[in-house]
Amino acid sequence: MRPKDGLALLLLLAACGGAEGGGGKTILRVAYEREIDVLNPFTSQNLADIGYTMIEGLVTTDEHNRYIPVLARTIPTRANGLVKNTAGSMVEITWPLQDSVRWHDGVPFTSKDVCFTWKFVTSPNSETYNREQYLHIQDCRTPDDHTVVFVWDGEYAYYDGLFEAILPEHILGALSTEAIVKYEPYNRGPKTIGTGPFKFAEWKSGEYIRLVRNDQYWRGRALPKIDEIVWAFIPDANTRLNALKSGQYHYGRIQPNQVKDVKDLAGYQTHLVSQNSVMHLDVSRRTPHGALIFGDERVRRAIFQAIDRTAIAGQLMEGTVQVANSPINPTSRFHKADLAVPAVDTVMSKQLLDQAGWLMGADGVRHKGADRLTFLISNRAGATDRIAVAQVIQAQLKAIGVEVTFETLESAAWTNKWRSGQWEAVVSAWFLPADPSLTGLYACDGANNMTGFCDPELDVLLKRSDRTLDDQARKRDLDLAQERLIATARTLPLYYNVIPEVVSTRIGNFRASGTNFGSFWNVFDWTLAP
Amino acid sequence: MGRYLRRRLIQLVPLLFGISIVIFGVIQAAPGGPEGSLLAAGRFVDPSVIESYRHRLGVDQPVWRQYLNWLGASARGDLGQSFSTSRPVTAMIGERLPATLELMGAAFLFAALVALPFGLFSALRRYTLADMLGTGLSFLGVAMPVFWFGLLLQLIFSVRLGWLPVSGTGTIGASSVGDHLRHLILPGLVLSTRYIAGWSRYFRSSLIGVSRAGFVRTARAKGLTETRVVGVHTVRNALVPVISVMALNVADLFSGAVITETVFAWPGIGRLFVQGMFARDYPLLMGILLMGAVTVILFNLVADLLYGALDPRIRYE
Amino acid sequence: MPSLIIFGAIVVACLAAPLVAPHAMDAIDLAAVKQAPSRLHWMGTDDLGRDVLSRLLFGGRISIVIGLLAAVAGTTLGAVVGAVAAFYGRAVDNVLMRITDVAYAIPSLPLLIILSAYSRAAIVSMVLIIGGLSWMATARVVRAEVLTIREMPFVEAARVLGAGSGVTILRHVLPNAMGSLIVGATLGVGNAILIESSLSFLGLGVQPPTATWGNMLMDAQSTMAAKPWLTIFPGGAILLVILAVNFIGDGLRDALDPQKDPA
Repeated sequence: MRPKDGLALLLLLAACGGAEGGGGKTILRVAYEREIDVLNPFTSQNLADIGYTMIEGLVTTDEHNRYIPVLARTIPTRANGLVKNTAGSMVEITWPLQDSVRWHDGVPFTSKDVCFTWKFVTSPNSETYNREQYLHIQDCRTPDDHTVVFVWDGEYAYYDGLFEAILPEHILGALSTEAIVKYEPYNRGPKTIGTGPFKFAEWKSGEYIRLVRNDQYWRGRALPKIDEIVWAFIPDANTRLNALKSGQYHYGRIQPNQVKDVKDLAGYQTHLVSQNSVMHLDVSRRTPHGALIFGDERVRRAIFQAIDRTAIAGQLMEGTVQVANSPINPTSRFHKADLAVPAVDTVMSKQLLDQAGWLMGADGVRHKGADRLTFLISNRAGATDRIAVAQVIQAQLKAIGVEVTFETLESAAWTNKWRSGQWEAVVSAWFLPADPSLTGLYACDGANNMTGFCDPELDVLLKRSDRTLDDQARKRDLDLAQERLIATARTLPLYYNVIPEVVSTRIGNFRASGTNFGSFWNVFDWTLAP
Repeated sequence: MGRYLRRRLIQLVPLLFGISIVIFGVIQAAPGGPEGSLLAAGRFVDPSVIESYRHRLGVDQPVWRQYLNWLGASARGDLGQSFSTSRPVTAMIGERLPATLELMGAAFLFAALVALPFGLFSALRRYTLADMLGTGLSFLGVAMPVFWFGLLLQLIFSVRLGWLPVSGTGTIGASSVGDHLRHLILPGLVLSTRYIAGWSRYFRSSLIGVSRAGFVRTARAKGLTETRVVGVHTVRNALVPVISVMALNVADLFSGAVITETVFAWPGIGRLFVQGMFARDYPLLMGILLMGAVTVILFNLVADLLYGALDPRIRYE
Repeated sequence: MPSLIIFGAIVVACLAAPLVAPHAMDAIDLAAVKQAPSRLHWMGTDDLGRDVLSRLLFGGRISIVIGLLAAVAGTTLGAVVGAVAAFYGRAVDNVLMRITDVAYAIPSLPLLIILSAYSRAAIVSMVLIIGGLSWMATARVVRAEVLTIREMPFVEAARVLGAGSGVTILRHVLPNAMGSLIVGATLGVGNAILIESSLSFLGLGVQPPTATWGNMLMDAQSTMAAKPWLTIFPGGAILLVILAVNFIGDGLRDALDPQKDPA
């Protein structure tokens, strides 16, 4: 047999199979950007969309970034009388629950499941990423099957964004916390159950997860309107783009620099979904050299004012993103719109550096005594967008006599370095929940403040804003906090992150959301036209 | 033969011990730890959660104890539990092995179908234009970075022409044998180019070597037709070293397809390894490397034995 | 021969990059990103508005230097290990060959991926890592050759005449093994360039702003369909060099083959 015959035979064999099919079922095909670890929404590091499609919580977020009730009938507030201050500065919050909800195995969902979830999350080894937020809850009471009451140790602003998922007590209740974390039937199916519109069907390692319609869905038998969802794991961004362009999938996330390529893709629309995430330049004063440079507010201001963020957003990111002026995304109601980040002014930058005693040297780099005005940006290998931004910053700072050098660390090594605080600058972005807390990032003792900066006045604002249920007061404090962060040149917001989502025009009722809940929050309502 | 085999197997013990130390040392000492995966998604994690995670995984124990635990368990065939999924490493590798085996199988088949006929052709017509062109073409596959070649084929055959699917092993929910084979073509083709050039060149020089050997001259002198001389005597003898090279290449099983699998979202071992790497999933990484090493050793042994079995001049003692 | 000329021309052009490159390697121009080839930019510009031709020349220096040094490092290490093992025999041979077995058995690309996490993705570490993982085959070949040559009369004669063992290896044995060493090293150059590009694909290769053909090719993948020149030039450069290197290696093998037939 000649080689050509072999290929022909293979093609012939291949031609016998058809790509379409599925027996008249509507199957939503998602080109998913990562393979997930486990199906437990609390211990998974990357479950997100797939989890929320199966497993519902008390609340979710809609396309306007607002919390809306899911398993709760309504979100408790002071106004509707469900939030009450009680003796000893405790706060009682009553959640009325939907009363006709059943788990995928037919067992009714009750308030006991909610309290069980609280117990699991707050026990020491639950490994839930935001466990400390739940620790403010002192007690969970179940007056009846459809009412749950949390007793809080005081006012806490994030009370309505917790419980993003509820665990089934009848499946996991007999196990210890440690056993639940490692419980394979729930981590990987088939015992993974929730109350959501889709049920777990199959997980083929490295390949896909398949979910099927929940025929007993509590919002009504007509919902969901799609029979199956298949999440195919396609981690490589270029392969994912090709897969979308070949028409094999209905939904997929791509990178901002790929947007132009799909602009005219027939049958698809690209949504630039604004995330709760701001790309920014962070500087640290934890190292002696960092303290020497960045300890001086004039130097920070000079550096920030030399960086042309408009060019970064418009040219480098090809206009897919907006210049950021605040560390809080515009989709949040706590975003302060009229913040004035100083415009690019290299003349001013040079003056500031002169004033601060950093004088231009013969080598084109500023000096102060024996010290050179140079700093190191630690890049994470493979984070192409951030590395590109860092290169632009490097080129622009050269013009004012500031030298920027790079080190590139592989992902886990970078994280290690960032946590150690022994770095000078990073271009970075975090994905914050729908209700942005700046406290962990910027308070003196913030768990994620690795910069060594401490501003007692800012601390007062941030901490007060966390411990209030008065929306107006909170907004006022957070406005002041945002102003102060910019005024003290603590960090330089660059642009508001977007993730482009390529969505088939056959999908109906798609309403994009860039919170931690993501765009699948209303998947029960989606339609898929033939 | 039996004694030879026994000696080779006994030699394996210190070899495996050395391999285990290298694998463990290299992986443990890599900067960054498994807690990096908690922050990889870009969300904040409470520091207490990070401590509790490290404690559960046992990475806060002294290194020598971690090594002894791992060595003891893996000697009994237990490669431990994955950090990120809490599942047995052997089960995870077991799930992914068939996909890699299949991809390698397809690549080998395709490579053999192309390389052997071409090797024969270019040995018979050596230094002709066709020989050189073919050689150039076979080198082309080696010379293109795999990811570029793969993505290029996707663009041409899937996006432009729409003939073949981009990635995966089948159309989920509508798979059939034909559909599955369609998915196998592009990754199989890309992977096969790794071997085509090598095998055809090897076969070519082996054919040339054999044709100079005495017994071929004898056969010719006996008046056998040229077809019989080339077909039976030369080819059969020249295949011997090629087959043992093929056996050596089977040992690539755990490493050869890393890039191909990533580009085509093929659910094999290579991708599992890359995933484990970024999560610093120590048990998974060590398990894959250890099984990879064992595969290499076994197929080296197989290659040697094959050589002996196919070539009557070689005897083991 | 044409391969040698092509390879030589590319090497010379890249080494002369500072003289011949039309633009600076890192001259960022955000007003002119991803431009098609033009008279100003013969190969267009990349995502930061840098001149692709200039980056190709400077990047080629890095890629070729990595290739050459890694090949030399791997071959030298392999030759030394193989020669020493064969010449001293017994315990030395045993220890060295067992180390070779261990290094040979561990799958190399996965090991490379792990090792690249150690490095700060710099050129030196890339050379050491790639070279450090590609010496085993050479070691075995050299050992086998030395074992054969050691018994030959002229080596025996040298020893009788009082030459030290180290001198003997250097003067007589290595030159005889040179043929296979050169072929191995030649192919090693191409291999190292490909490995760097594979690591770039996983985000673990040499990192920007330093250009290599591998990271240029990888960075351009996301716009391969829309802006083909961004991939064709670095990809084509890799292709040309590796093709040339393979042909050179192939030619050398034939030329050095003592049994080469007159046809």
